[in-house]
Amino acid sequence: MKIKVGVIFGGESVEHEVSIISAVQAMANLDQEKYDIVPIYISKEKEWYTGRALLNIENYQDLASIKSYTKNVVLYAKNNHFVLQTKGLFKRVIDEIDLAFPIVHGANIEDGTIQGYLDLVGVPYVGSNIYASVVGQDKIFMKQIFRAANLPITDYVWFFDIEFKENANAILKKIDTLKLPVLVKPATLGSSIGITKVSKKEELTTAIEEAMQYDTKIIVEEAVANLIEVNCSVLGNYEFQQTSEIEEVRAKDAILSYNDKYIGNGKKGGKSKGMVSTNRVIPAKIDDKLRKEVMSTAKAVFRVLNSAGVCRVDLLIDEKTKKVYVNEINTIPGSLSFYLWEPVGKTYSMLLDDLISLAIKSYKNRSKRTYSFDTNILSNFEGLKGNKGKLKH
Amino acid sequence: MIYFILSIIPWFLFTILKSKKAFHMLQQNSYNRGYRYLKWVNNNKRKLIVDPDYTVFIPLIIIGLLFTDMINLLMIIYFLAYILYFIIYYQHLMKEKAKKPLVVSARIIRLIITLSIIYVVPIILFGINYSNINNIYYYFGLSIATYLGYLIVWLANVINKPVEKMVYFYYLGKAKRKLKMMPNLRVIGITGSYGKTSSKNILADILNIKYNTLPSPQNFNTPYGLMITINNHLDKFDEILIAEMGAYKIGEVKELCDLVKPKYGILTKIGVAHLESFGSEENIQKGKFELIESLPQDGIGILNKDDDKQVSYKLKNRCKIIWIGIENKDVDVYATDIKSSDKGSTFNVIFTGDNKKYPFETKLLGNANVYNILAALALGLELGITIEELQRAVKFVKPVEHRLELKKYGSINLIDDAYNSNPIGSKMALDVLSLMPGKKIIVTPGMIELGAKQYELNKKYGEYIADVCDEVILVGEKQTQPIADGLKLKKYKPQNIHIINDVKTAFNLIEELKEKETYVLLENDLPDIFNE
Repeated sequence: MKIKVGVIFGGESVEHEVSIISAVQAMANLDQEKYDIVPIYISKEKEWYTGRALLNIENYQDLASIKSYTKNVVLYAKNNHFVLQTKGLFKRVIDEIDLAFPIVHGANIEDGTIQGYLDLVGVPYVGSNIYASVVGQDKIFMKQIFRAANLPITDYVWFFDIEFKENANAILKKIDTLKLPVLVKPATLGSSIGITKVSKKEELTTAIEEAMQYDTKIIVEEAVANLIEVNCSVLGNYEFQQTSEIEEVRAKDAILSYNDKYIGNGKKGGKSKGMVSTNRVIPAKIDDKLRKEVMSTAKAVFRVLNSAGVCRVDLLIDEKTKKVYVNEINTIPGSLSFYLWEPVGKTYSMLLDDLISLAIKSYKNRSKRTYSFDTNILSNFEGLKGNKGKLKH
Repeated sequence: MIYFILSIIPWFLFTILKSKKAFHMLQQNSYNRGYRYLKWVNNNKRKLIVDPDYTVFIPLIIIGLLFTDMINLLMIIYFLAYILYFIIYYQHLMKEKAKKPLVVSARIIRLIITLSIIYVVPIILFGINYSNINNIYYYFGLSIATYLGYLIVWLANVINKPVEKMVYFYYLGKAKRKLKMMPNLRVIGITGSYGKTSSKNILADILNIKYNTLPSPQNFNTPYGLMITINNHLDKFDEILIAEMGAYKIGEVKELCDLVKPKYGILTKIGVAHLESFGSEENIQKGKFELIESLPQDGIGILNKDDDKQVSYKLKNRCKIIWIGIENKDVDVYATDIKSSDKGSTFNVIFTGDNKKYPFETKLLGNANVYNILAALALGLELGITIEELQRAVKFVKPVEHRLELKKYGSINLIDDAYNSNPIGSKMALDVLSLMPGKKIIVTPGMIELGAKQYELNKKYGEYIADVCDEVILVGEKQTQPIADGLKLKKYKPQNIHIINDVKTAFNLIEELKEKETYVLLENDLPDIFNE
């Protein structure tokens, strides 16, 4: 009896295509002896599709035509089974899953949205729960929590777009307290779109206006000087964590642009290879002391959000002062950061195995706890007569 | 005819009520397995004979014999009489609050169908050739059937037996097919005369650190229980199934092994429980070892070297055996330096071939639990769990409720052993108490159901108490007289003996007696007063 793993990907997100690449990669590496793979693709129009055609990356070149090779379905719980049922006139259950494996990126889906849906249906799923996912998507929430937990971060200012529109001067005055250069970012977008590095005061307004096109929450943070950007992946749950190899990200631009991050330096018409093709050095060329600090900081970041599964923590190092800062956490990293685990002896298949067993374990632990009381408080409710009927909060 | 039908409506309602009670008793007596239901009927016949409806026969006989023309009056009397019976019986049932209510299982529904046919068919036959004259006989017939309602329910149970057998085989086949589809599932069997449930829960807690482990729930340890476990509780994610195996006679453990096919087996302790049904102590020994002898060649059996009945047995198969022990040190896994405190127990474990002492700590108390932990450690190690992981797992093992369960009640440390009722366990609880610092108090109503040895064992128990406890609270003067005698024999100070009749007052007494550090042992069948 193989475990049926529903790999969910796509969704209404700017990282839709990246998610497809990550998911197809993962599906190719799932151990078919142990798992039956059920691909579940969410289109940009938020329709769900399933079918074998989704296993092949070639089929995604025309996103419109893939819908004709697959079945439009909904996922819900029926008699304790999590079934995929066709929409349309004749509703048929065409498949079912035991476990969901969301490999989605970006706002509107990775940010707790899919996790909340899966929780509500009751499907066990791989990776972080809704809380870690929400915080992992919002650069401001993240900083607020990291600061409260005494994790090293750079100074920042944040505001809503409406505040800037009403009183730009007040906001700019606040930003004045930061040291230039600063980075202006949309808070919840997830990818590098809309991010600008600002070295001169005069350029700030343009950068903020650019960011406001993408988000209503804006963050301005100090950039780290003499920057080495490193990533470290963490695997585990709140009880134990292990860290991967550390990679160093080398970008040509001052910061990772969208092209840099996902499309790499592939020429036009060439095949996209996803995350792996970014300019990266594994292992990062940093000394042992920094290595240790990066790893322990990454674990602390993972823990403070109660993350689960595999995450990637992005950190910034000032090469001169040897100071480490947390940049952000990715609760579902591109390619699940498998390339950081291979150097420490964990193949992609093994990583996927670990992720699935972590998910099962947390599902089992959760089902042992009680979530609802057997007694119905309403059974003693005597209607809306007199004072007894008043609900007390 | 319409009047006839109207007149029997109260009879009908009363019959439902009475049958419900009968079903309830049938269910509680394992559907008459080993004639338990009939024995119950026999034991309660005095009560059952005076069920209120016997009075209906008086007017029936009088009218039937003397006033055959007063059939209309009979209808009215019949109607009213059963209304009255219904009310009386209903109030009676309301008062008698059952510990475990009737569970309307599929089996009960099938019995209800059969029972309905038994009652309804004659009524329909009667309806076909209805005449006012034979009326009286039908009233008679219905009343007798209801009066003997308990036996009619038994009859329905007998009729349904072949169907139930088929249902049994259906679920048995289903369970076997499901297990076949899970070739990677590892099955562990646990049997013994006592301590099976604790051992199972402790093992499950420990193996869970690495594997998804399903213990058979509660004390499910019969073929039915294990079938339910497999069909309803086991899921694809489970890697280990722990099957508790109970037995009343020889061959029963074997039958359970044929169902779940364990690769690993643990024997807790072999005692004399169910001696009557087993026939002899040898048979008990043989019956328990059926588990180990059912293991495959590459299986592993965990045995306890401190149990003479396990050491003396000549095994007939050749699977690997791992011995555990505390007193005997020439074993594969043993514990030393066992210490107990208000935090639980600590001990060191030595694994054969590795002379290092590994420290363990647990919230559990008592040597019986140390054995349980040792068995789990031996198996866990075989299943590839590291010693470090095992140390962590043992730390988090949950205590079993009311079985030497350590808890705080305000500033008092309670050792709750309220589910215990056997002399060996009671003595062990005292041993645990004796290891604790501070003032030691015992609250006990004494041990019951010990047959001819009742007085002797309780008196001996009183002597043990005298050696350990600073204060003794005895619940029930008459019942605890043997303990008081034992205390007296040891010249225990009378001012330290407190006899109460209402267990609720024990708490106030403890509050008066307590010192800075106080340990209270709640021993034997005590109600849950401290769990508020």
